Amino acid sequence: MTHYSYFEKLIIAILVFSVILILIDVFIMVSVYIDKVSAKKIEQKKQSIREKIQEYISAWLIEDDVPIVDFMTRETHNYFSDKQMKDPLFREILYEEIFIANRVLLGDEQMKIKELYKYFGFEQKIKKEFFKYKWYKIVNAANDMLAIKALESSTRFTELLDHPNQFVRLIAVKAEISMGGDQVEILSELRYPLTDWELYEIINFLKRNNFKQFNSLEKLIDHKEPSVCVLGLLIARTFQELYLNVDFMKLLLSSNTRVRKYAIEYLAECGDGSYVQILKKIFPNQAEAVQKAILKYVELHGTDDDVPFIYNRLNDYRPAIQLKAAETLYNMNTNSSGFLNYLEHSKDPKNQKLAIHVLRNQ
Amino acid sequence: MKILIAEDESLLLKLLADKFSRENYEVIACQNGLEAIDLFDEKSPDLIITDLQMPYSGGYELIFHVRKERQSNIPIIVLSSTSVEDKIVASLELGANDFVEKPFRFNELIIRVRRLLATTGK
Amino acid sequence: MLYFLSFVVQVGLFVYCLMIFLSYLLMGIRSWKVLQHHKQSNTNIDFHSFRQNPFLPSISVVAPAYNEGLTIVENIRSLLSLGYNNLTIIVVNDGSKDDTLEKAIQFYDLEIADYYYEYRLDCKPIRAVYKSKNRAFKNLLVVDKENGGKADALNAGLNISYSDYFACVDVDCLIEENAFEHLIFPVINSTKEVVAVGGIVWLNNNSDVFHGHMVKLKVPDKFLPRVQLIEYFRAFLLGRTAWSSINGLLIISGAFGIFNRERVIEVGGYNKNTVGEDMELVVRLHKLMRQKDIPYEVAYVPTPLCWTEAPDTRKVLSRQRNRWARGTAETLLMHKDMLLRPKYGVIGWLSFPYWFIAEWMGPFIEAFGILFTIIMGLLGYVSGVFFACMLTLVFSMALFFSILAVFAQEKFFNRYTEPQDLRRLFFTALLEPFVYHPFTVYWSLKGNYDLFIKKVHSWGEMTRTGYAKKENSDKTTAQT
Repeated sequence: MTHYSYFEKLIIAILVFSVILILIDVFIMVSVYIDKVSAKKIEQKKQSIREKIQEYISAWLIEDDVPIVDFMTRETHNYFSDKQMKDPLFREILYEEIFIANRVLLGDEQMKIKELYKYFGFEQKIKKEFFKYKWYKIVNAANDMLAIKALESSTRFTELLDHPNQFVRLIAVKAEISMGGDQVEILSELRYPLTDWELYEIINFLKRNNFKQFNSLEKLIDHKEPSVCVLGLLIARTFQELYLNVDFMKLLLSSNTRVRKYAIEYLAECGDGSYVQILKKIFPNQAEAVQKAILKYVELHGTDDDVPFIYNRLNDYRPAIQLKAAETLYNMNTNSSGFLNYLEHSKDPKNQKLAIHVLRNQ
Repeated sequence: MKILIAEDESLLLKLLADKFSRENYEVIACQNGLEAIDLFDEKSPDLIITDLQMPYSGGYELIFHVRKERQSNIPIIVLSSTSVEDKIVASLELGANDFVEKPFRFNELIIRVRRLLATTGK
Repeated sequence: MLYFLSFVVQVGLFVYCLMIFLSYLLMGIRSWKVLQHHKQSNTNIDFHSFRQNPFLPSISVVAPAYNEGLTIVENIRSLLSLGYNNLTIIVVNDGSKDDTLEKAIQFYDLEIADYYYEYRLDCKPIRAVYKSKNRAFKNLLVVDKENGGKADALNAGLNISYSDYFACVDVDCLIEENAFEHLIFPVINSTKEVVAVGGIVWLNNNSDVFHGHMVKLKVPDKFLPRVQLIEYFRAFLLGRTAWSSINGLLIISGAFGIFNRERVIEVGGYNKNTVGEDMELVVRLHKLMRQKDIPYEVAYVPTPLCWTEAPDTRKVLSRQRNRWARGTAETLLMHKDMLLRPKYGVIGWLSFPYWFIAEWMGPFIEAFGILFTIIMGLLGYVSGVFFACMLTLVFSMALFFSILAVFAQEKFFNRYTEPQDLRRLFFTALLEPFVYHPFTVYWSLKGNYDLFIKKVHSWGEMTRTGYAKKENSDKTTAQT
């Protein structure tokens, strides 16, 4: 019966373990419950503070040509008193509301909001947050700095371009660019692969801030990281950079699907028809998205000679490609759209249906 | 002159209401499309300023209600942060008179309101 | 001899217990980290600006409808109010016997459209595709087809769709207005191909809903939905979050998820021969991508975006669980070749073994344990102390994960405003192991019995009776 002493030990161990678990449970339940009870009160308090602050901000915005110091020290009303400003909750909500106002307003009103922000010394607060370790604190601080256009050139942003967190890298890129660095130079520093979301964020950012001139985009397009190359192509397309000294053949034969797709889309919008033959040749082995891009290219640059090629695509095994091909016929030129009209009355029921679908949905 | 303002961002609603009150308009404020529909029926305002994306029911429903169900042609200004062409076109097609994109300038909005009220003959 | 046997079995059960506890604990820790990261990331993504992003993939929402005449107009309206920019709504009328189609035609000004499609996936004949004459509803397609069941209707919708992604939704679910911006995010923020994205399905019994929008979320009044809510928390917050972070997610709720359309067609669409068609599809997608050796992801978005009502009677719930059990067993058996194969990576080595042991065999082991203890107790072979001890252990473990799940809800989502909601949840968690869990074990066993002994295989007999409303509509597998 040697196992019996083991058995006893086991029982004690199990009991101790269970009791510890139950104690943890009780602790969690009580603390969560207490939090919930007090949360309601805090929420009410917050709401009343928020209403007060909105009143104040509105009063400040409606004033014409009054220096902020005068407004704040005027005795008739008690806006933003020292006592209120000491309340951390008040400051927190004031901070939030200032950023909301900054987001929806332009012109004079935006300037007045910025004055408020400076008056309350929120700059120091942000800067302190910015040098913290946690990634989301850095991002939040940098975001706010960017929103209120209060960036200071510091090497910190350059370091952050290599941060392992994508949100930090993205905000660092935006900050570096808006501080007036050469965009291409900054973007070509990127080493991490960019996701679609990051690409669009960067493009949107450039658009919103009215950047139009890009020097030597080739540096991005020839970049060894495919997604940076895609970024270069997207910038070139979005901002209509027509004269690029790039070997497009290499891009069209690249092993990266995104590079091929965006290169074709760029050539479709900004190039001439000199790639029709090669694109027709590489068509069969491409992904659906690339094939659609090729059809778009043919639609814009194709000639009557390409009609047989498009016609063959009507027999593709994927209806999405068939439809795209029929649309290409409709849009390319009068002869091809005439051909589609002919198909509408043809004997082949499938082609007829395709043609009708395209013609009715234009 | 009564203006109905539907905007879910409470700060912006407050700013708009105060600004237009100061311009001597009577302001009816609310935070969602459904409330706006009720207020429209009840108070019959002279002009509507509405956001498109609001909780429960957006600006489209409001415009639809005013134009199709009530057959009213009071001026409607859409104030929205969307810049999607489809959404702008859809709101204008439903019957909005004007579209102002956020972020916006107050002065500009006030002039648009004045002009719309003038052209509708009020 | 009997004494020795009893000892071995007891040790076996004990080890099983510990294994389950350990795996739940690992999942809990992992989920916690992922939820934390997710929450912080979300505040830095401007989902609003997505609506202006012209590069976003297009999505078709496929919503099968069967005898929904009373609610179809309202359901379509709420689908049309979804905010995503590049969205097509495809409502599939699965041969309804009532006036579902007529109501839709009348209200939305529909007419038969010249719409080109092919039967790439096998489905019952499509009678017509309708579009609205009113340009305001230009994103709406209504497909009229012969009755063939849910999987068949989804396949028909897939044949009609030309979007990059398609979403399957239950027509009676409540979907947040910005749901698809959230769901598409993993797709556009991944360097790999994302074949599917799942979301949380959350219960909204007794909550205040106004014109298709969640106004105030409340904990269900009845015990049954409430205890299911805790199950859902455990499954969606602690379970799936962890599985998805290692790309081992095997199930995406049939009620709410998006899939890469071309990949789904490549694997042959929904399988009509199983009641677990949603899980089976995900498994097949895993299989395809692993076989082709393409880097891929089955993502999961831990944000509550879809609300549904849980069955609140024992009869309906038992049928649902019965079906889940059958679906699980069928799917696992259909793809048993994936078990422990190195080619299938995490799926073969972790997900599949876990599902085999904890999800499929779990109820068997538990039932066996209970029976064994009773018999041995009657024969006097079980030490009373040990029995009490084991009972305490199991109870404390079960309670621990329920409380942890409720805590995670509070910390990361905080959707309930009233303290009494929490009180009721805690109370339910205390009762669950005694008054609810044994039933789920019984229902699962019954499901397996029906599948293997009575040979009830699929929707077969059910398609004719329709979707049997509620209880069929939310295959969500609240098992962890």
